[in-house]
Amino acid sequence: MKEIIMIVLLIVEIYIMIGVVFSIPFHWKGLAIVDKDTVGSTLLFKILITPGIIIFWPHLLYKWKKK
Amino acid sequence: MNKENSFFVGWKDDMPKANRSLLIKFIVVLFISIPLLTFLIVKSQKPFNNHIFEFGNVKEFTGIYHADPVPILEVTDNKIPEGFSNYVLLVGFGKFGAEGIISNIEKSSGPLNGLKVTLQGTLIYGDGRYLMELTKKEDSLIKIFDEPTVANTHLYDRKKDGYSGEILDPKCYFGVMKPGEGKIHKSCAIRCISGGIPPVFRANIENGQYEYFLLLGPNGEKINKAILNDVAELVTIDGETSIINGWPVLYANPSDIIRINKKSYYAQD
Amino acid sequence: MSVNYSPVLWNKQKKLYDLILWIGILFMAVTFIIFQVLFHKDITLQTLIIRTTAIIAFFLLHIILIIGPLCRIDKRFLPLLYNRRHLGVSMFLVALIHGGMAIVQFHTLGDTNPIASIFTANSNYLAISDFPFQVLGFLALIILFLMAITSHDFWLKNLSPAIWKGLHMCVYLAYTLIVIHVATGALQYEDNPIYWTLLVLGVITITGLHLYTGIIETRKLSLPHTLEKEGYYKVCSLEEIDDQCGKSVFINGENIAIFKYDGNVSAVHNVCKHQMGPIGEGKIIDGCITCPWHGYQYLPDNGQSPPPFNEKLKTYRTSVLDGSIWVHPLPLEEGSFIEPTKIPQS
Repeated sequence: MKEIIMIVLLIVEIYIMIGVVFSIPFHWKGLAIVDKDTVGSTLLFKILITPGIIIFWPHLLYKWKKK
Repeated sequence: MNKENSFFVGWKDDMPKANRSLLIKFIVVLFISIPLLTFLIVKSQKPFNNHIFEFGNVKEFTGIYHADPVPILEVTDNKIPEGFSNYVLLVGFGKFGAEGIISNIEKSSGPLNGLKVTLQGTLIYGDGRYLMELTKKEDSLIKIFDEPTVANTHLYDRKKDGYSGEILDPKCYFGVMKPGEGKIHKSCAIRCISGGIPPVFRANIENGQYEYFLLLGPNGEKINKAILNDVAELVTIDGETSIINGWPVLYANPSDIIRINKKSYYAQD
Repeated sequence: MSVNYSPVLWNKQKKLYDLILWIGILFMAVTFIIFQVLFHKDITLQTLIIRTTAIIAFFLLHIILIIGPLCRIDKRFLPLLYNRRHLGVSMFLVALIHGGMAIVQFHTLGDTNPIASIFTANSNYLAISDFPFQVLGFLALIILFLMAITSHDFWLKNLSPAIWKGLHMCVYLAYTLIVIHVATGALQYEDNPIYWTLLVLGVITITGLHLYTGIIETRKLSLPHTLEKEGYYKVCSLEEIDDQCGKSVFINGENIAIFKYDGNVSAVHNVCKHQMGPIGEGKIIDGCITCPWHGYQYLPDNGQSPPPFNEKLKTYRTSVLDGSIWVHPLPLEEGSFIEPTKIPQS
């Protein structure tokens, strides 16, 4: 039981870590490509959506690559 | 009612009158019900015990250190108030027993068992019992006195006995947490006992009185890991009792710990 | 909606909403803390924080969940729905303090990773009263977290409204988890029957209101004995719809909103592009169909949001015959113009 939980936790940690790394180039370039309405938005807006970017990075990566 | 006015549009500055009057009523009802609800919830709560954890207040105590059955300081400098046992159970920082810290101390100072020492730590106390958290970890030992070692005191030989009650982690129960017992606190108690804090069996004696036993295996061995599943539940335990270094001890086989149904238990009362 | 995103869309009404909300939260916290200190002076600070935030978050969740059905029963409650997401995020923040404090208190400084400890300390997963209740609270908190971080309209658009709505419907799963969390946690410790009474009352209120409005809605939408002619279905008489207002109907699996305005009749898809609000319960304002939920607007003849916005709804052909409104349930492409049906002057 404990071993399984520890493995799941490790996977979640890695997933989130990738999300954190992903959020940097995404803010830099991807955001404007995925949704052009975000051009010129404030820093606070970018901070507000960052937790979501970290969690939903595969979805955003897919949208980014498609465009 | 004017239908034109009753349609609410959020991005307009003002709300139609019909909406406003209903919402004011709704909010007033909510604001009146809040204190009634909080009063009802708080008033119906189980009372907390009056045990104390002197968080942030490290004190020094001098006495005989006993390693048996678990780390205990038999305080000899009269600092323990009337009505409390002067056999102070030692526990570690966080959810750990004292043994790890003591064995680290003994690496540099040699065996401490039976020696007169001065220790510093944070007091936890209630219902006649004192505990001390070795908050400063390896710096908890202040002084070792140059006096001959003192033997353990056994008050009487083991005798057969059985009680119903709850297995607790004494650190939380005697003051760190409120409540430090029962279902709410169960996983914490498991964590503490798993971390080496000696399990204490709070036996129901009579008239709501409790006796606190250190819970050990039939041969005095530690059974912390074997009993985790039965922590914070109503159980009966059959075993043998004795008193060592001021602490009642219950020697029991983990398989002799039997869960009892809360309802049937209270029906017996 | 389009046009640049703002971090938080605050207007006069939302500011007032948030002000009342946070006064309410603080009021509840203050009364709860005062009563605890009065009646239970031995309480620890940690327990005080855990219990105060538990009560507030659970109470707020009940309010969040009754807003939907209340608006169905009486449209005057709609302003509560309009800013519900701020209520949701506030509730999450309070619940986060509760969960965070409980993890720190019960699981840190031990021999196991605190998060792993939530799942493994008590492992009686097959028991009922002994069930590891903290796991349920933790899972509910994760759901609320996912909802809170996607509460901005950016996510509604970029996750797609369907996924977004699906994710946010999980609030019902979170509520169920929390009810069991309370029932197998605090209620296994406290023995005053008032707690079970309050919990059951809460569950009955929420399920009861949802069932009630659900039944009413289905009745309203279904057209049992409607006439059909050349693919057009009879909906209702002209008088049944007030001027500048709409009506929702369900024909052949199509959810349609029909509007009567300025001597015309038009029909569009009854699901708002924003949060799937019931367009048919909206009104024509400044020549646009306005969704009752968040005020999204569409032109009735082509289902398009006026520029600079770019939402589009499917449109339906309509007809007026012998004082009755008829509609063809085969939708046209989103944003297709259909000449409105003129109401004959009598």
